[in-house]
Amino acid sequence: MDEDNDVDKESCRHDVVVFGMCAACGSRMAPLSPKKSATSAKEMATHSQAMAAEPSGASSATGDGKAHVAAGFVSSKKALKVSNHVALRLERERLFELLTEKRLCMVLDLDNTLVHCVGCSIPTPVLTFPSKTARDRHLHKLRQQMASTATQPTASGSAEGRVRVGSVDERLEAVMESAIHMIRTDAPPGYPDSAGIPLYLKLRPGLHRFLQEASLLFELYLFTQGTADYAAKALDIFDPDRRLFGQRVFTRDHTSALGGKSIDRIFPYTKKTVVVVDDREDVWPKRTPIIRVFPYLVLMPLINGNRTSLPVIAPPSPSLAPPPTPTDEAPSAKRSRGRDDTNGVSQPTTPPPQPAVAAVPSTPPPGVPLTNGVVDAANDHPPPAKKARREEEGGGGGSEAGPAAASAGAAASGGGDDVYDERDVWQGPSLEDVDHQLPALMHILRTVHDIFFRLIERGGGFASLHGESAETLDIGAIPDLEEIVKEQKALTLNGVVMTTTGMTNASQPVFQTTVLGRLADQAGAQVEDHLSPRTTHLVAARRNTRKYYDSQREKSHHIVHDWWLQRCLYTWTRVCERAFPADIGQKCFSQRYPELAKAEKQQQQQQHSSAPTITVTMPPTASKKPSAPEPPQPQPGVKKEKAKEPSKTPGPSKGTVKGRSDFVVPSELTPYLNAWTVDLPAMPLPSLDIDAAFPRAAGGEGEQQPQGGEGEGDMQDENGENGDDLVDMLEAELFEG
Amino acid sequence: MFYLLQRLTNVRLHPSQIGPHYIAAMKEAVEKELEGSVNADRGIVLTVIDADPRGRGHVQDGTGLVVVEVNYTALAFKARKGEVLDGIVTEEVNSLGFFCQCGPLQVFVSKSSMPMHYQFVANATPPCWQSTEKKTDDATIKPEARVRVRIIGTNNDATNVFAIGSINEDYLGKLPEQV
Repeated sequence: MDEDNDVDKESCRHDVVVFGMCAACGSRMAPLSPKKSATSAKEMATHSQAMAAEPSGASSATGDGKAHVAAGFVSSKKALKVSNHVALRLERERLFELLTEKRLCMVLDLDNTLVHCVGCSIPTPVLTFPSKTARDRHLHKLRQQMASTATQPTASGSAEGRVRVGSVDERLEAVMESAIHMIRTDAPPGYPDSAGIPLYLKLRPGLHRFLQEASLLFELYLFTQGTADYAAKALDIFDPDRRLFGQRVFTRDHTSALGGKSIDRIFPYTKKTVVVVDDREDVWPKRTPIIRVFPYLVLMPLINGNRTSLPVIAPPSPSLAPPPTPTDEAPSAKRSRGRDDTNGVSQPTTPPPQPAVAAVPSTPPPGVPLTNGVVDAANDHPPPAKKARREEEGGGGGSEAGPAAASAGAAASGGGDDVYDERDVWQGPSLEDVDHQLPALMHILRTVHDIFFRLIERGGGFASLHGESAETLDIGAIPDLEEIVKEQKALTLNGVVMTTTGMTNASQPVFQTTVLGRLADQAGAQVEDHLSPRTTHLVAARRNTRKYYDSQREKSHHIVHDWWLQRCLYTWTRVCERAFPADIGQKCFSQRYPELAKAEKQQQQQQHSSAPTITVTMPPTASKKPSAPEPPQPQPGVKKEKAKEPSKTPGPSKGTVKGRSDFVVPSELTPYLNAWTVDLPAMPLPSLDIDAAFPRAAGGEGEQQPQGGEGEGDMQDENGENGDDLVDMLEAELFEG
Repeated sequence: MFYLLQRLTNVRLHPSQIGPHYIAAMKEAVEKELEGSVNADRGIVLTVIDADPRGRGHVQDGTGLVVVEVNYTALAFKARKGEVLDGIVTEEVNSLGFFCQCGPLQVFVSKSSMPMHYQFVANATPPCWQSTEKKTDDATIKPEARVRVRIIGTNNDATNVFAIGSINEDYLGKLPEQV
C-alpha cells in the first residue's frame, strides 16, 4: 500500500475500503448493502483455492464491493474491508508471524464453553460492579487483603471445598471463578430498567489459567452469537485489559444471516492454522476443525424453578455451618459478625457483639436496600450476614481458617478511612462445580499444537516452508490443523466396538445421530446396534434394559456408564472403564446427596409399581425469602414436588425389563452430577503416529480412519495400565467408606 | 465544520399536547425528530437551538393530529473535505490503520495516509502505531490518544457520519497530551 501513497484517484487501487470509501484516496466506492457484504466473504472463500493459487489475478481494483473481504484477523470492525490480494498478503504476513512465534489460532465460543450465562434472575447473592472503576477498586482492595493474609492458609472456596493456597493472583482468580457475576447489557429502547438487562454469569472453573496457557500456544479469537455489548461485558470479567483477546472479538453482527458462525469471516483464505472450540457443531460449517467441549450449564438448576435442589456444597445457612470452636476463634468470628451488622458503618473499633443479632444473623435489618438478592460488592450498603457466607465459602476443609483469615484481613486494614472490609470478598454460594473440561481441553490443545509443529519439523523445519520472509512462505506446505484434529480425535476410541442401551429417546431414536453418537464416530469407535461377539463396550445409561442384562450374562466386554463415553469424547483419552461402572451415577448421587438418595429410595419402595410423580423431602438448601440475600433459613419442612421421569425412553419399551432397579440422574442435577463428577487425573492423549497419518508425499492428506498400527495398540495398553492404577486410587478415594 | 441551520419542518402533535404547553411540546417534537439525524445535505444535527411555529397548525384528516409548520434553528456538523479536525483514537487500532472519533464523526486513517516512519507494533498492549524517528510517547498512536487529521473523504448513512482521514502532513498526527 505504501506504493500508492500519493492520493491519486486514477492510480489508486482502492485496497482498503472503510465505510464504503477507499481508505487511501477517500473516493466513494459502490455502496455495499449489508447483505452483499455479509455474503462477500463467503463467496470469496469458495473461490479461495483459485485465489490462493493466483493471488495476482485478484489485483484488478474495481468499484465492486465484492472484490473486498472483511479480514477478521486484522480487525473485527465490520466497516473495514480489504481487497483480495491485500487480504492474501496480510494473511500471509500474519501466518508468518504466528508460525515464527510457534503459535496457532484458536476461535473460542463464549456461552456454555467459557462461561454459563442465564437471563433469569437467580435467587442467590451475586457479584456485580456498577462500573469499571468500582471493579478496579474492589479488586485492588481484595488483592491487598489477600496479600496481607498471604501467610495464612486462606480458604478461597473452590468447588470441592478444597483449600486452595496460591499466589494472590491465583486466589483472586479463584474468587472470580467461584462467584456468580451479574452484568448488565445495554437496555434496548423501551426496556423498563434503564440500567440494562441483568444477566447472571458464571465462569468455567480454571478459565483464567486455561486462557493464559492457551494464549502462549494460540492466538485467541472469541466468536459468540451474543451481542457485542454482551461480549464486552463478559470479557470485562475475565479479560478486563483485553490482554488475551485484544480486538479479536466477533459477535452476532459478524454471523451470517441465519446465525451461523464461520471462520471465513476471520481468515478468508488460509484456514490451516485455525482450530475452533465450541460446545456445539451445528453453528459451524462442515469441515471446520472443531474441538467440542462439554456444554457448561452450571446455573441451569438455579433457574429451573427447582430451587430446593440447588446443590450448594456448603450449608448456606449459618446455623448449618460448623459452629465456631470455643477457642480463640470464637471472639474473632463474633466480632466480624458484629461488624457486618453495623451495616456499612465504617468503624475501625469493634462494636460489642450483639447477641440477639448474632443468634439470628440472617434476619435482614430493616432499611437495607435489597434488590433481588444482589450483593453489590462496591456498594456502600452491603447486605448483612455475609459473614456466614465467608464461613461457608471455606467449605469443609477451610471452615476453620475462614473466620481467622477474614478477621486478620479486617484487622490488617483496620485503620484509616479506606477500611477494607471482608464483606467485599465474594461470599456467595460456592456451587458444586465439578467441571474439569478446561484442563482437559488444554491437554488436547497442547497435543494438537505439538503435532502441528512436529509435522513442520519433520518436513525439514521452518526453512522448508521457505520461511525466510512472509513473501516466500509456502502456504501449501503448512500442515493442516483440520487433518490433525481429525486424526487425533479418531485415535480416542480406536478399536472400540460399542453398543448402547438407554441412550436414545423418542425424539432421537437412533444413537448414531445423537450428539454423542456422532462424536463417538469421529472418535473412531464403531457403533453397533446390537450386542455381538465383536462388542467391546456396552454403554449403558440405564440398567433395566434387556440389553443390559444380556450383556451382564456374557461378561465378554466392558459395561460402562454413559459418563465413560462422555468423558472419553470430551478429553480425547480412553479413560479407564473400571472407573465408570454402570451404577456410577447412582453411587455418586447417593454419595453426594445422601438425604436426597435416601428419600428417593424410600419413595421408590413405597410407590414402586406406578405413580411417576413422587414427593421428596429435600434438604432445604436454597429455599429462601425472595427479599433476603443472605443464606436461606433452614426450613426442614419444605417439601418439593419433583416430577421424576421414570426413564429416558418413552415408557417401558420392549427392551425394558420391568421391576428391576434403575437410576437416571435427575435432570436438574445433571449440571452437577455428570461425567466430570468422577475425579480422574488427566491422562496423556494417545500418541499419533504422524508418519502413518500424514504420509510425506500426500502433504497432510490423511485418511478418515487411521490404520490401527502397532504403536497405537501399545499406547492403548499403556493407557490401560494407567487406568488400573487410577482405579485403585479412585476406589480408595471415592467408594470406600 | 459546524453550521447554523435555519429550516422549515413539519411536526405532528397529539391533541392532548395542545394547551398551555403547546410551544414546549412542539419544541420537543422538533428535537426528537431532528437531533442526531443524519442527512447527506446538512450532515448531522447536534442540537435544536430554537423553534417557532409558523402560522397555525392544521388538523390532519384521518389521524386527528395537529400538523404544525415549524421554523427552527439548529446546530449541525458536517465534515468537509480538506478540513482539519482533532479527534480521539478509539479502541480500533490495527495493522491497516486506526479509527478515531472527532465529535460525532468516525474517521479512519489508513496506513497509506500516515507518514512513512510510522510502524505498527502489534505486540504492545494495546497495539499501537509508533514512529521510528522519535520513539517518544508523543509519537505513539494508541487508544485514547489525541490526534489531528485532515479529512480526505466523507460518507453519511442514516445514523452515522464517517470519514477517511490523513495525518501525512506537517503538524498533523499525534497531539501532545493535554496538560
